[in-house]
Amino acid sequence: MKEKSARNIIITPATNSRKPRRGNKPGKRNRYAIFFLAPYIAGVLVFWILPILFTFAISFTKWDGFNAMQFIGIENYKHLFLEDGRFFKSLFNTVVIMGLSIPVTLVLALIFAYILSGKALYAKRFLQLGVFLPYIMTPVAVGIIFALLFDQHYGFVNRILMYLHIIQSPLPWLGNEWLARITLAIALIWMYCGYQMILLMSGMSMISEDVYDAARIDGANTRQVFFRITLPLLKGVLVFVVITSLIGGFQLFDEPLLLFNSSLSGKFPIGGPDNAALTMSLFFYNESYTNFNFGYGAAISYMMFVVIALISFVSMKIMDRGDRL
Amino acid sequence: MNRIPRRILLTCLMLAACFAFIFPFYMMLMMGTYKSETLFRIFAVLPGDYLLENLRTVFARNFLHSYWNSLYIAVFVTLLSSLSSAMAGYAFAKYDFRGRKKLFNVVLIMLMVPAQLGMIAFVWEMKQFGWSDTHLPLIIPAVANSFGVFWMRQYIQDAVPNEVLDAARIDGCGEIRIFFQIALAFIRPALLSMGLLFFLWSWNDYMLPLLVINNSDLQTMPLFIASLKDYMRTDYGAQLLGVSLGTIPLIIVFIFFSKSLIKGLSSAAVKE
Repeated sequence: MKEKSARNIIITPATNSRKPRRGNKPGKRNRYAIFFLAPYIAGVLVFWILPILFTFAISFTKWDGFNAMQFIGIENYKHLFLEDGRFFKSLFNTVVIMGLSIPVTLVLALIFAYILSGKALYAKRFLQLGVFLPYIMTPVAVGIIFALLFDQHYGFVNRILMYLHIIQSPLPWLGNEWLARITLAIALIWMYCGYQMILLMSGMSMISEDVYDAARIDGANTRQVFFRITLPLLKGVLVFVVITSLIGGFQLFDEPLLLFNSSLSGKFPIGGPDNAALTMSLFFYNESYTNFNFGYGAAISYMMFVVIALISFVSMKIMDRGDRL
Repeated sequence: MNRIPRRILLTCLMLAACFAFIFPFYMMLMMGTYKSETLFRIFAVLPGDYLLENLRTVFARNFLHSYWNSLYIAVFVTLLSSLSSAMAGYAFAKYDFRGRKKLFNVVLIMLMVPAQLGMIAFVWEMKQFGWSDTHLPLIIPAVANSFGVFWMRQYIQDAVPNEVLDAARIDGCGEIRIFFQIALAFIRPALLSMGLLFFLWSWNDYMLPLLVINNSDLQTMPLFIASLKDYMRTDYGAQLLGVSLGTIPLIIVFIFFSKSLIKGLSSAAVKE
């Protein structure tokens, strides 16, 4: 983040010959900042900082929400790292699901954005809206719809694939470890492609036409223009898109929960077959609100935050350094 | 190269992509018009004849109630978040107070904090406030929207000219009046697109209502959609009709506002 504060230092106007009546001297005036900040600061303190600190304390206890808290030191964290394989599994799952979905989403979004930004197109607004629409959809509903479309026996996807003789027997989309992750990734690609496309399009619209003209005069072809000009100049937006996708991805909750909850062919456990789609957020929810193991849940949420902070930091560093993408 | 064929080719290509993105919506709508037994025997690509029966099944539940809940919660959240974000963003952008940089770093850190981090204590806190089984835990915390503050600060820096503020000060206008009568007028377009996003996020939120709402009279739309399967176990036609009814009206409204929404989303990324 570049601080552009220098230009905000308020300069007392030179024409200030009249005596100001009120709130006009910079020193006094700046006190009003506290008035404008008060609702936000109060809200952050009460609804974020306080609970976050308290959760930290809870993470060193054994607590079911009803009986008295019991201080157990770092037991929860020890259990998390050393004994409970589900923590690393959920971290692995989350990373894999993002690894399956984010690159595909990004590439598709780039292609769509590039095509839609060009002049060579009819019905541009309609096409843009069509791809963007899934972003507005309630994630809970997405889980339900995909559960039905990808059902092993009754789902539309298997039946159309069988009908076209692409597969011989129905694929257990939601019942197999890797297929489950892929199905979830497909749902995510569907939901977020339009969102990323919009961001990339706005980035592309900021690139001056002169740069393209200059490149064409120098004899660059379409591919060179895209890789040498469009992509590097999009870096800022790309960083934003990737980081927000990563932060969002680590909090993935509604879609996997509903996807495996709404299946026709029997209910899967939270997190799908063999916990293949147990994301960190689901793991947290399951421990805290299904097993009422709040101390452990608190420890999980803290580890989630550490992972998110680390990943955002590292990706910011990497994206900052790479001159070429 | 001749332009027209290329143009048609690209349009067709995008149309195909578009089709893939709209198809699940279409299937959802179509499947809601079938009887469950027929649903899985045929390819439900054309509308079925069971729409009225399914409608009757869905409306037997307090469907409109959860609509109303979600609607008024989202309206309050949008108003609260927009106002408090604009105020805080204005303070960061236009005042030079002590600790401004440090405080803004807090905002940036808050952007990275997952909602789950304080969740356990938050839910407990709400119980202590006596707010459990009310909508207050979903509404009041909206005053602390770090994303909105971050965004508003970026926007206000450029969109509200210092000269205008100073001119108002010379004319003896108070600081608070300057904000409400002058600054807000400059940021109205951003407020609209930001408000649309806040509305959408509030409407679609699932985890928080799931944890703080236990009374089915208070349930929001996502809770209603998720609960459909519990009382329509095998009635998938009705279940999907419920999902459609719960999502499509909002989507239609947002199609009308899509220009502002898209502008809002993109300004967050481009300003970065």
